Amino acid sequence: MDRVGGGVNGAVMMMVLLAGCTGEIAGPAPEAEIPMLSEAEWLTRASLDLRGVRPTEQELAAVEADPAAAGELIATFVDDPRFGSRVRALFSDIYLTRQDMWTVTAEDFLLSDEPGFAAAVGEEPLRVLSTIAEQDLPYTEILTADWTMANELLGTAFPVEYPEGATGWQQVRYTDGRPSAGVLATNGFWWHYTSNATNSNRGRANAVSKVFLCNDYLTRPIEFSRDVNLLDRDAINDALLNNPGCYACHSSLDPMASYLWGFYYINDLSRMDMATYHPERERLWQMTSGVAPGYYGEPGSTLADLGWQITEDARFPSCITEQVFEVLTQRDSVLADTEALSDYRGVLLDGEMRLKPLFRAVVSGTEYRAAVEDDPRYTPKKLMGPELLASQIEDLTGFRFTNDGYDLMLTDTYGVRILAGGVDGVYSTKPAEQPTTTTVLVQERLSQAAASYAVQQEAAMSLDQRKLFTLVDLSASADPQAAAQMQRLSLLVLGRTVEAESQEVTDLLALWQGLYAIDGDAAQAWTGVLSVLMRDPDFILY
Amino acid sequence: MLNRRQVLATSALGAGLISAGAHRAMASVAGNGRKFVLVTNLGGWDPTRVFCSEFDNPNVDMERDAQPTSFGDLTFVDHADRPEVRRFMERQASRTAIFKGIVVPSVSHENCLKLMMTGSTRQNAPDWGAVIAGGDGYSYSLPQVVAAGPSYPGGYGTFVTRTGTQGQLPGLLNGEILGWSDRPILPPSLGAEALMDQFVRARADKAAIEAAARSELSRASLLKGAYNTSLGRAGALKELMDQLSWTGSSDLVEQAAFATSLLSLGVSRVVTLQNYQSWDSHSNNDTTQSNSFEALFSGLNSLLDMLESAPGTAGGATLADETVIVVLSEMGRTPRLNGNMGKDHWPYTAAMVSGPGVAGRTVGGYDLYYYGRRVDAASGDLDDDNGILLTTDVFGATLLELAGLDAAEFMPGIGVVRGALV
Repeated sequence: MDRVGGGVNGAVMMMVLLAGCTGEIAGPAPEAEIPMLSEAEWLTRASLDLRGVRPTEQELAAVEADPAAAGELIATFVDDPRFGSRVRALFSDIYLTRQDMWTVTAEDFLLSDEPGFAAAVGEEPLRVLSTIAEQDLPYTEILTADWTMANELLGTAFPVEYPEGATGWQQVRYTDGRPSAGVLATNGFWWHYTSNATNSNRGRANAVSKVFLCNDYLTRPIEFSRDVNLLDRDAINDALLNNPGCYACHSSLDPMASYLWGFYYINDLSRMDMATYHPERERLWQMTSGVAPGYYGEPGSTLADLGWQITEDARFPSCITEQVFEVLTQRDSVLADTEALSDYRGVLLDGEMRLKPLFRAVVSGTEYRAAVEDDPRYTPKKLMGPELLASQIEDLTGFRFTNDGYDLMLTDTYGVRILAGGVDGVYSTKPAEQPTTTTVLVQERLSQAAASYAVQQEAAMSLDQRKLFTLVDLSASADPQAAAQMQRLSLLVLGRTVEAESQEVTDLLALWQGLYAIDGDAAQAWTGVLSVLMRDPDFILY
Repeated sequence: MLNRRQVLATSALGAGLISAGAHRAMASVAGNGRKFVLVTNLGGWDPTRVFCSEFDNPNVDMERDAQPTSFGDLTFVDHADRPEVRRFMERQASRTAIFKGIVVPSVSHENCLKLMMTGSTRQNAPDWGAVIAGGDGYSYSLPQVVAAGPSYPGGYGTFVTRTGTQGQLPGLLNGEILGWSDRPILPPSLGAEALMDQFVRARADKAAIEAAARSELSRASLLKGAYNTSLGRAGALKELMDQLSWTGSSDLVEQAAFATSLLSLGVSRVVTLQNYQSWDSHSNNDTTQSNSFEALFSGLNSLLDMLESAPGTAGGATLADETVIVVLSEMGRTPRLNGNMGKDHWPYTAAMVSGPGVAGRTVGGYDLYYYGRRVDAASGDLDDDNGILLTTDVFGATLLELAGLDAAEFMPGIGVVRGALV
């Protein structure tokens, strides 16, 4: 059904591998022929993608004065403290671990912060990834690290050495004897990717293959032999070993699955069963599939072996390269991207598998910066997902849309994540590709709420304490600085430099007057002006 | 990838196609004028309790006191405890097809559900409802609404809307969601909101026109056109807000009322509902299945009542003449009862499709070992030698054809059971 599907990606990956050997694959047209985003547009896009916020006034001014400053500024964005948050957001659509609910709850661990606990569990593997990126550690740590990340809630619920008296996310170690295998040894990953005795961890093995090798077994057609007695488990297991239609996939999938029994849950409603690793179950494969742990013919014994085996697979660096490229360009890679992907993979390898150089390279690349209108290889506009929309609004206004502790932009049960174009990791697994009725409704209400909050907050501040309304009296029915304030808002919210006599300022002043005429409330009129700026198409399309 | 017609529909020029009247004019009851209500039943039903008359099969444990009954060419399993089932079959037999022996190559609920709804276990595979909604999605404000139950939008997320279990969508429309904020918010007055909407719409309209002028088919133009269209639809929905029978209920009748209002007002083409009955009968199979089927068909009869009471919007006398009801469960159950008088998971199931364009008949069947039999795609008759298996793909492709889509475009090489269609 998916006509863009993984087959192309797989082909690209193979081409990248080949390119790594020969370096002779034809590439795109020379960069000089391709129109690019303006320096300010590039700066804005990279700032949003890597920091989750729009550029500051100073940064915009610096680029206006010297366009070459854009590249220098962008190169520093991966060192920004907000970079880690963006790595998690970008990869949350790949890991899919951010669930609203789990089979065990905070209450099971005698914790009262249910929303915080539910969010933290899915965050654990993403935090491992973002820590690797932020600390410039080799990406191989993702599958080999002997540490994980925990906040005070996970520090209480999980068997980890969480520093006494500490708060927030800390690098910690599990104490239950689980192998050192990075994300593969985190509860958060396996609570999302569960299994049962019948499936024998095969679905989990495929998740590992998909996330770390970009190889999804489920994109292959399933042949279902009618000669197999479906009521006989031994007959099914025999078919998996001997039936060619089954064996093609299961010969590599099942040995990988056999590494994962230490995370097999007998009772997924038991906090003890779910929170702790079970070394005593590692050999349950003997009673189920009967297939010994291994990786494409190479035997192993523990999850740590699997981690190392994957990191030594040539597809491992190709996959992370492809993923970074795709999340930043917001499109699937295609065969025409082969040379670019090969170059980026080279950057990753030359950088000893560190992610910052890879991110820097991709955001500096032609595919990211091109403003070509009629070529699907380029994305002159991208659609913002719910997390990025929330973070840039929070940066501008200080507002976060929460209800009783739940972040409404990041949850579904009580929130609007899917309605805003996001994914829930279970049913909806791919973000919206273009604006919808509900995305614009979410944008509208979020903008209204944030504008109301910002105006109320800043009305109680002196001008020099404010961020947005630094030029006007928010209670005045007329202000000589109103036009200048409109210019400032356009710059801060949309990155637009407009003249005082411009149509933009004239329109905004007319809106202000119209709103004031309706309600007779200057603060509400400013709230309205700010909210419509945050509802501009260019606020969510960047 | 969107086709040219879809691109144009998202552009500023297409933005006017937001009213029900617009698609009323272009649609007919046949093909792409048909609306769909998908009713999901999670847990795995036992087809032999309603859909599959296997009384002659010595390997299948049938229910005591049940009997085969036919209305027209449609045969089903009748039981005195299930009058609602009989009532539905009697009403709809002439346009209800029962697909028997659909192969779902897994026995895990999760995989089977995805297979039954999408034909694939791939991560981004869209379900049939999403594909149908996307096929003519740009004519509807909310092409597919998921009132309850599972949904796999895949790459068709643009067309699929969950209402939210806590009233999120109505809250967005009427602004009540602003009151959910932990921080104090002063919502705009109605007059101010109308003025702001007008202002935003004008800017979006201008942006879409400018982008289209630069290049009609570019991604930037597409996105700005979609943004503009979406704003128009959001505005239209706000006006319809009070006419919709909003619900977050698990009650099938309440969901049916919501679905009817969405279809009647031209807001949606596809609505997904869930019948929250217990189906996973590893023990006490017969009572569990009987009660669940009776409750399901009671809800279906209510849905039919509502559809029959609402005027058609695409040329049919009533909505019932324009709406196809698809009822499915992710798997079947084993032919024999286990030691707990239950039945376990079985990778052959059945589904029911009822409404305009559907032939009143059964399609497919089971062999002696309760495996699905092959059918001739053209006639829909059994053909063990040269027929095709009723895979989930085939079932889905047949639904797409029923919706007026070219199944071959979406699922090349997959057969369509044309014998199930009229």
